[in-house]
Amino acid sequence: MKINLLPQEFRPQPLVSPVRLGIIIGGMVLILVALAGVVWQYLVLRNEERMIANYTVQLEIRKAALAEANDIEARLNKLKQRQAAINKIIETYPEYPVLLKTLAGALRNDVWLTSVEATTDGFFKIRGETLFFNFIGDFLKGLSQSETYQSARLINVDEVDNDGVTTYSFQIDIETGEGAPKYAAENR
Amino acid sequence: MQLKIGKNLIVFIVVGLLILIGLSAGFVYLYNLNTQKVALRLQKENELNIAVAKINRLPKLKEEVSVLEAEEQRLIQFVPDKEGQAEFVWELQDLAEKSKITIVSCDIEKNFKKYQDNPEFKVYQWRVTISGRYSGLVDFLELLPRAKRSVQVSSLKINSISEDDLNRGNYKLNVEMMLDLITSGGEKVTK
Repeated sequence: MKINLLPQEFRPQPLVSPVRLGIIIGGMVLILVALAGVVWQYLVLRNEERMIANYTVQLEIRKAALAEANDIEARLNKLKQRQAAINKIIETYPEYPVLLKTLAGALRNDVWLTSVEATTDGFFKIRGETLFFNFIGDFLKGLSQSETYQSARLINVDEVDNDGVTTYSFQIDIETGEGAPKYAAENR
Repeated sequence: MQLKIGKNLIVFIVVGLLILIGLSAGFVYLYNLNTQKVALRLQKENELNIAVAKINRLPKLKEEVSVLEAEEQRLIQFVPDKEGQAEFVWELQDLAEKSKITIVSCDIEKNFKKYQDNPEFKVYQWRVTISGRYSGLVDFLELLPRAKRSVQVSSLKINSISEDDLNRGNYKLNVEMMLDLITSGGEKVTK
């Protein structure tokens, strides 16, 4: 058995102390990790810059087409606004073909109209004649059931003698709900 | 065990710490730069996607524009001079022939009107009297919106010509109507 009587501080130190080795290795690892992080960030940065450059080139290539598309879009928007204004104007006009077709659809045999006047306040003032009084009621019912008109009101019925043939002339006001466009008061 | 720190180790630790601080600073700097670049890249990517989508829609946009321009053309078709009036009368005549009705009279109102809500448009009013059968009148009214010019009927008065004709399907009508010829006053939509 070998007994070393030298105090600790005078004993010969090992060539590489495990603690020093640990500090050196730990330090190196930390530095390497930090370096790897920096390199990674740098590579990411390069990649981002490359992509930005690529997108910039792509945008530049499409610049002319994009300018044309923007112009056309702006023009389209203006035209759409104008079209919307026109449509709004047209909506103020009565749809006479529909109104007249509905009127014809409500007529039955032996009832005929002598005049139809569309008023600007949304009425059809109609005058007609029939051979049978009760046909006026049927005609009114047909008008009232129509979805085109809002209401139909009998104004008067007169018995007329036409050379021995008795007919009934009548006047009915139909509310169409479709008036006329409003014009500005002053013209130039 | 007591650790004996030599001069070399201290130098190593100091240098190592300096390198570590430098690298950390570099990392933070690059990270911040990357964050900005990512935002910029996303912005460019978005711009590109929008541009591509818009360019892809270009043919459709052109088509829509040409349709609306044709509609626009209807508004600037009418010029209230003699030739313009004659052309409109010929068009009315053409529509009347197609509807098998007869135009009895046709007068233009002296002054044009403007709409209360849309004063940018001018309205030239034509007082037109026609005669014909009921079906012809309906055909004429249905053809009007498809005319070359933008025309609407603002008032209508129908009278049967022969009241004693009991054959309802055949009696002739005399129709007075006011035609509104809508124009843009020659102002074309520009870019």
